[in-house]
Amino acid sequence: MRDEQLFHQVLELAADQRAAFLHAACKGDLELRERVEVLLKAQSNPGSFLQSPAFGLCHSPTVDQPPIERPGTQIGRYKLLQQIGEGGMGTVFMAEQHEPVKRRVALKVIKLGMDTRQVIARFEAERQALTLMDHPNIAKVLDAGATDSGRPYFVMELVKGQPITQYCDEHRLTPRQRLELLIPVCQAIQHAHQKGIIHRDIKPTNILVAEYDEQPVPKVIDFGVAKATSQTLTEKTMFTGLGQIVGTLEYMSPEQAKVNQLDIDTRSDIYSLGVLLYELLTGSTPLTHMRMNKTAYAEILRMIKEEEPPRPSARLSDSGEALASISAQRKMEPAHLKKLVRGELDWIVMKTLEKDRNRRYETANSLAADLQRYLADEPVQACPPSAAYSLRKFVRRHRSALLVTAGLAVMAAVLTSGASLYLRTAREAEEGRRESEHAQNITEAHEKIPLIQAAMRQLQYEKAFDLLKEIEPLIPDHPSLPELGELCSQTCSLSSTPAHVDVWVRPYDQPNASWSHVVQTLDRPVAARIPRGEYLWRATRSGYHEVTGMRPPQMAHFALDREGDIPNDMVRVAKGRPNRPGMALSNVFQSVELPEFLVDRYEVSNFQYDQFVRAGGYDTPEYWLELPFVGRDGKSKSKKSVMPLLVDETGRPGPATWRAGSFQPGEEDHPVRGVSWYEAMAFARFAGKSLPTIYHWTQASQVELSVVLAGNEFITRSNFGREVKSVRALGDEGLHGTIGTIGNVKEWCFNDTTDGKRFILGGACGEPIYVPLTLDSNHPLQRDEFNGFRCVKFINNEKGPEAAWEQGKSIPWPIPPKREELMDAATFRLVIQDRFVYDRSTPLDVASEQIDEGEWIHVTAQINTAYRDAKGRWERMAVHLYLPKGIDSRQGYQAVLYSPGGDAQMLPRIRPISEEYGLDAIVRGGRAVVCPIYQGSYERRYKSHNVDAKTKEERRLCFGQDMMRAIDYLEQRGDISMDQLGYYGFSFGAEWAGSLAAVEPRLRAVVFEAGGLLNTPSLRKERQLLETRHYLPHIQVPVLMLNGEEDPIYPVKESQDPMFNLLGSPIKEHYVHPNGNHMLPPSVKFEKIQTWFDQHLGTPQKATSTR
Amino acid sequence: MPLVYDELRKLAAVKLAQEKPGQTLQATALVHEAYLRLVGSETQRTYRDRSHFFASAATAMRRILVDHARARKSDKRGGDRQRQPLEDVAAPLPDDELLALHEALDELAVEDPLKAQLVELRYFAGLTGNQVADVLGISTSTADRHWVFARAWLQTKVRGLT
Repeated sequence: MRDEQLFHQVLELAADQRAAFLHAACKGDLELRERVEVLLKAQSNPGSFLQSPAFGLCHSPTVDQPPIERPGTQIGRYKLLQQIGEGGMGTVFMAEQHEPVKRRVALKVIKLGMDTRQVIARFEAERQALTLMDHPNIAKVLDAGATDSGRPYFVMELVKGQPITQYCDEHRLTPRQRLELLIPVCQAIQHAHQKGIIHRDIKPTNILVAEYDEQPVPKVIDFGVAKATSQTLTEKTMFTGLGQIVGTLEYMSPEQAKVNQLDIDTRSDIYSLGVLLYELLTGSTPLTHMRMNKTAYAEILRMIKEEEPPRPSARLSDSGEALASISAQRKMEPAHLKKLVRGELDWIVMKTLEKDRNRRYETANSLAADLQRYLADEPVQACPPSAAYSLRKFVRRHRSALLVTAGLAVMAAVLTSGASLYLRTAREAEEGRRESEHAQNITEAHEKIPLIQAAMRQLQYEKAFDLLKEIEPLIPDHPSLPELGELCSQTCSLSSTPAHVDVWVRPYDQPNASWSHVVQTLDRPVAARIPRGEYLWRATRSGYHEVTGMRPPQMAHFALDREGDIPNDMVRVAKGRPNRPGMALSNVFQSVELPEFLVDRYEVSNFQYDQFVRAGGYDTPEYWLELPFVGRDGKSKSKKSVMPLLVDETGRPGPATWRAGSFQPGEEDHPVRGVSWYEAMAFARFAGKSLPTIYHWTQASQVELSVVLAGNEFITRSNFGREVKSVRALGDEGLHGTIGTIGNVKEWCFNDTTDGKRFILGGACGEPIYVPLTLDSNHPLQRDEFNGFRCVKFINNEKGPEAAWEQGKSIPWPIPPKREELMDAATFRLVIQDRFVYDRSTPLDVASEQIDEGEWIHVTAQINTAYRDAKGRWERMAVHLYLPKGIDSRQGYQAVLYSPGGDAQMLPRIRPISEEYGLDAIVRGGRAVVCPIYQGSYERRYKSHNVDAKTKEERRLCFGQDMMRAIDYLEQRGDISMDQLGYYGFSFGAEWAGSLAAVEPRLRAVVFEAGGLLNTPSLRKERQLLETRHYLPHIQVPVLMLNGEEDPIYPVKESQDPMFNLLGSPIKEHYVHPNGNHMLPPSVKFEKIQTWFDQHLGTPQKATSTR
Repeated sequence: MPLVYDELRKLAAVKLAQEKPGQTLQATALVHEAYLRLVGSETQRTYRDRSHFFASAATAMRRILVDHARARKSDKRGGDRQRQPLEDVAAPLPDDELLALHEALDELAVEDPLKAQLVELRYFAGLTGNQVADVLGISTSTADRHWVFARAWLQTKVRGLT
């Protein structure tokens, strides 16, 4: 549209230039000019035209305001803890009451604009009656009142459960189980009715099912609330509780649907129970959601009052395709379900749903009684029993007795003819029934095979396995069974010393699940099958310490010690060669052979360390004897000159984190931290234990194997958060049952590096999760706040750490740099750079959404990558873009492309940028930050990193192209200033990924933090494309390297300097932070980053006025 | 989807809380009617996504407003002054203008369906510029440009060349 283009062009001009421009642009086309002028005139004089929307459907400021009541708020005697639900009427919180008793309650704040005084008055009127209610299936309403903001609230007994329909479907309860669950509900309602309380709002969300002792127990909630909050239906109140009406119409009785109907009695509740029963059986309410959806409000009310609902069995017959899933949720075959519901259940339901309440069950108890009769195969009341009906019932009830009788043919002969006819009928019926039942079971078993396959597709191996066990005895010869069994389960070989140990498993990711018993071991290995998945194992035998931990199921062995034979809280570590697959020096580790030994289950706690301090540990010479004291200069020191350094904040002997000779209150179970290697050694001697060598530590923690056996869950459960946790609060149980080996605090090891430091392994809070995979070391006097330890105890006459150390004495760490010939520009281009080329004209097909996150705009764009997926379509990639606010964006934003550390390849999803190593500081500094989810990171992370070199090369190309495509996207946006594009990489992003700067000419300035050249032997034989060193000389843009002096992964001399020296950039700078670790303090790094980009890209312009 | 459902319910609640006393419920009933039609059940009616939901909501609102404007125009029995017109709830356009807008929007939809939808979302569903951009998958600045133009264009159609 030419008009539109001109229209916008003119609008961008100053008022006095417009006429001239338009005149020139229209080149005599007067019509065009007039059209545009009219549009401009309308634009300049909009009046009220479309000024405010007809309706605010979406967020209006009032809606956006958070509710005044939120966790932490004190309401009367109650303190809100967390929101646990939200319904049409109000928000439900878990709250804590202190007076007169301390307990947790549910507190519901009514949110509609109701008349608070009236609500409370109505509640008070019924309060007396409510307090009389006392029934195990009723959650009591305890209190009511008004919040400070004037809204009514109700306090109820806290029930943690699911709505009954949801519970039944999720647990696939059979119709019988459902009825059994509804009976106590009826009895609860009966109890309330006897106390004169009508519920008035019975619906699935008001009947919660919670499990107590693994038994489902239904609880009716909200008694008294409906009465207090909803008036009878009048013209006015028809709409006062919209949310409520939407949720409740389905369960509303005909008398409740009448306008101005005041006469509601207990039989309304019976009707609602009937609707619920209907839904439990058929999966839908008599008036379906679908139908109500299409129908006007008044019409719905008419239908409730007048329309006869279809019988439940008829509803099932009409439910078409849905019937299969409805039946499956009830563990039934469709035909069988229909047959089951037809007849008595139909009658019971229809009796509760009578429009005329005089024809319903008179009490909830009589409904319950009829359900019980049905379950016991007795004639139900709901229908006047015909003769045939009574007989059928009689036969079923006396099934076994009749069988015996029928077998006695002689006796049959003496019976009257009428009776013998009766008996024969009974016997035939019984045989026929058994045959058909068997056939039915076989059919059902066959029909479960697709369910098993479906469960496996959804990776629900437990469910698949359970189903399989169910059908195996019925159809043992079915050809699919062996394969299905193979796919959904794993065979274990279990053994133990001593024998006869009970073995249990629990899914590793479900710490609250109960243990399932697998088998009891014998004096030889026994085989057992468990569903596929990751498990924590447990072995128990009375009189023995129980053993927990992960095990490879193919050969799980459990060695149990008699109680008293080993110290509490130590676990036995199996003998073997410590394994660090794929890690630096793995060959050295593999050359060491360790016998069995014991290791502390937990890191040494403040409490334990306190005993050492109180026992005068710092003053007892024998604990400090012959420790090789060295200063930071590497020179030997006397004990006398070192001891004054080993003090707490107040100068008393103790860890650096303590005060006045003791730990902080409440932290007795926290790991002791802020201790030097010397203190750890002295404590170990005090405790009659030792520090582990790196071999013992590796053998005890088995980090890599733990990750293999427990999946990422092992890492997720370990503590890499901001603060240490109680050693007993962690759930990252390792192979041998150790806890907290990785994360929380890092743990001193016995042995030293070639440059005089001591190893300290496992990583700590606030560090990237890959740190445990490296060999970290500190100066032995280093007392960082996260330096802690755990001990080992040698058994079987092992001499001590020195013996193990001897075997691997020659450990060359840190590893010296490697020299290799580099490529000239032409070779580099041919061998490496050209391989990253792709067809840039391929459309990106951007689909983006953006959220205003306060300080910045967060755009998430899905774009095409440069390669195709398995189906031949362009693989898609998410690019996160954070646009700063308050920036003059007319010349375009400056942007920084971000490449995260190696943990991006382990974490399931990208973190908020404030947690991505504080990336938000860059945005606050006025630059956009771009985070492409490159292949192999976050949501696109690879399952395995253990791949051949060729695959690695392909992955590298994908990485490079993903970054380039992200830049294509920035170009296409049009609001990014492309000649001011920066790159910031951290760790992996500064080393391997940082080589992007050599092949992507659109980057204009680069910051590498915590990068360096890796020299580990395992990386020595890589292909050229994978070797960062080949890229570095071809980087030409300004580079700033930021590193820590004490970085354990990229040491200065061996790793940082070689990288810096190879950089081809004419402008380059290397800042080494004194005493810095792998990560620099955020304030330091962002100041450096900001300055670098300001210098080389220009300072971002602040907007002069907001738009 | 439950998210949108909740948003709507919150909004309905707020709207009701703000209701002036004594006002007839007719307009509110209409809004509810639309809500019920749209969100009557979160399980049965599935919107493909948020965008689809809002687009449907906007269309429903437009249709209801237009229907009522038409009904009022044809209902000349004089009772409509007592019956509160919709303006009290939302202050939209006079009936004639609303119907003209309706026609003009149809015309715009033929030429430029994106802009017509944008107007529907902003005006009939009350989405902000950012939200509209979000729903339509275009940038905010593009959405703003489209809005400025579409509004001017519609104004010339509805109010003539004053």
